[in-house]
Amino acid sequence: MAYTTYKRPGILTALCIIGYIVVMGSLPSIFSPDVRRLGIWFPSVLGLLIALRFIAFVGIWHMKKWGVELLLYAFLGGLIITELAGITSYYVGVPAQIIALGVAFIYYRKMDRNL
Amino acid sequence: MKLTAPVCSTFDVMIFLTLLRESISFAFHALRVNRLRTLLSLLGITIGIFAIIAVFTAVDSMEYKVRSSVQSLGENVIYIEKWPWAPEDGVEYEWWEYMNRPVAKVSEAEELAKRLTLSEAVVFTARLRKTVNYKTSFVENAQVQAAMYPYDRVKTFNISTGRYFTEQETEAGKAVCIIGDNIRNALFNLEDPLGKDIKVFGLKVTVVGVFDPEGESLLGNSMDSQILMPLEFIRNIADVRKEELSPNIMVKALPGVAVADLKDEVKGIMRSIRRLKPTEDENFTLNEVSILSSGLEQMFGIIGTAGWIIGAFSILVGGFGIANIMFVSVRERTGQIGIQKALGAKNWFILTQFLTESIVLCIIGGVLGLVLVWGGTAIASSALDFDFTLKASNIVLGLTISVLIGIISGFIPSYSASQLDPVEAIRSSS
Repeated sequence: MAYTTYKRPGILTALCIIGYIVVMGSLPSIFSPDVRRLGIWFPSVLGLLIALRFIAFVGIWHMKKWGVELLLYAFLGGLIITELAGITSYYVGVPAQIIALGVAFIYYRKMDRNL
Repeated sequence: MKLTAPVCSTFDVMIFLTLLRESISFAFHALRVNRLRTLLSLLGITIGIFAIIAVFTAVDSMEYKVRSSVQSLGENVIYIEKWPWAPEDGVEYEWWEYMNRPVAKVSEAEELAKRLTLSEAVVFTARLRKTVNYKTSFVENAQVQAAMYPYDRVKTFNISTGRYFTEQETEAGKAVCIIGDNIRNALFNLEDPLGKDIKVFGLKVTVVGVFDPEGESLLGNSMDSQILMPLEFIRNIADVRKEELSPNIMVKALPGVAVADLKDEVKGIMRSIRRLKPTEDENFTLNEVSILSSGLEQMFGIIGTAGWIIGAFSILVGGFGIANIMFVSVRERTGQIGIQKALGAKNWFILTQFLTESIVLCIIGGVLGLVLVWGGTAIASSALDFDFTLKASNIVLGLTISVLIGIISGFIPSYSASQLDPVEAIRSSS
């Protein structure tokens, strides 16, 4: 079965680079004193979300639909977890994440379904 | 192209689990084959996890110890003193003003005890250092604490043997004392101290009780090294109005009374006792444990953040090491990947195989790091007489970081391996 792979547009390249930087930047947050104070389970869940975001950006970099879907799940997961933990500061990053998702979804139809 | 939703049957799940098991065994085989490389590449993670968890363990243990010491001062107790324990936020520490203030007096404590409605107990205390001896044994500069009768209601302590003073003993200024565990060990060794006379100020003082061992206190307020005596006895031989004796009044709030309310009442009564005009500033300070707690929170926050930064860099370096070694691993096994794919291995199988290898590598590194921390805490605890404890939350955190680093540093090499074209892969290795 032949698949047509579209070249990655510049905006997605920029999105992925920013995404990688944000993910690497947010990595130390899992062992920040504030996060540890929220509970024994919280750093693990936050770490999982960070890993999911990283994988999602790898997927988007390779123009894969699962990358966009994974980014959406990570976003929704983040919302649920932070809502449960009662962290209001998370909402500061929500508009940026919605913009990132919006940009990724614009090119969703041109992306590849396979792994 | 028409996409249909995948149907997941029990058979599919079984196949998935079989392939997953197979990819894990592949990963372990690869790690076993390259033992030295495995060891060297996981060292980065081991050192990173060791650095960060060791710092967190040390900070947590010290924080616990200091908090216990602070709590033993009494959370709902106000200390009326000449000097504040810490400057107020945004206010200069006016030591030249505090120097001219009068010290707390016994008469003020008695007056407060009569007039306060929100307090459970009011106690005047003073402390001095003296050499105490029993027969040929002696303790130099032992801390002698002089206190009014209801001291046991404002200060938290337990008596292991013997008893607390009676009201008559304290009011009559009887020569009795309760000694800490360190004093007992130094003076009596294996002998029972109850009823024995020790010499303080050259006078015979009868031991009526021994405090429960508390261990070292970071604030230096452990009862282990103290000798508690009735205030009236000390007043006969020393001037408790002297500043060197650190005279202070401790006021404990009634159950359910907020410390802020008690503070207001104490402030009003103290102003009236000292005849301060409404326009005049207070010439006393109401200290409370929360002053120390907030100061300590700041201090531990800074230490924690420092540990966090050190650990973050160590982990980052370890992560790059793992990513590098995974790229090498993929490069080395390109031919093998090509053959696997030619025989029908799915992309996700190759991905899982390499990702598992990376995660397992990081977990082994993390576990080694945690074992080092555990060993370090055991050695430090016995060498420093300080209880370092590796908490469950830190173990979980260490393992979480390991898995996370394994995923992040291993995903790109694993994904690139999964995307290899079988023909090209086999050709490149030949």
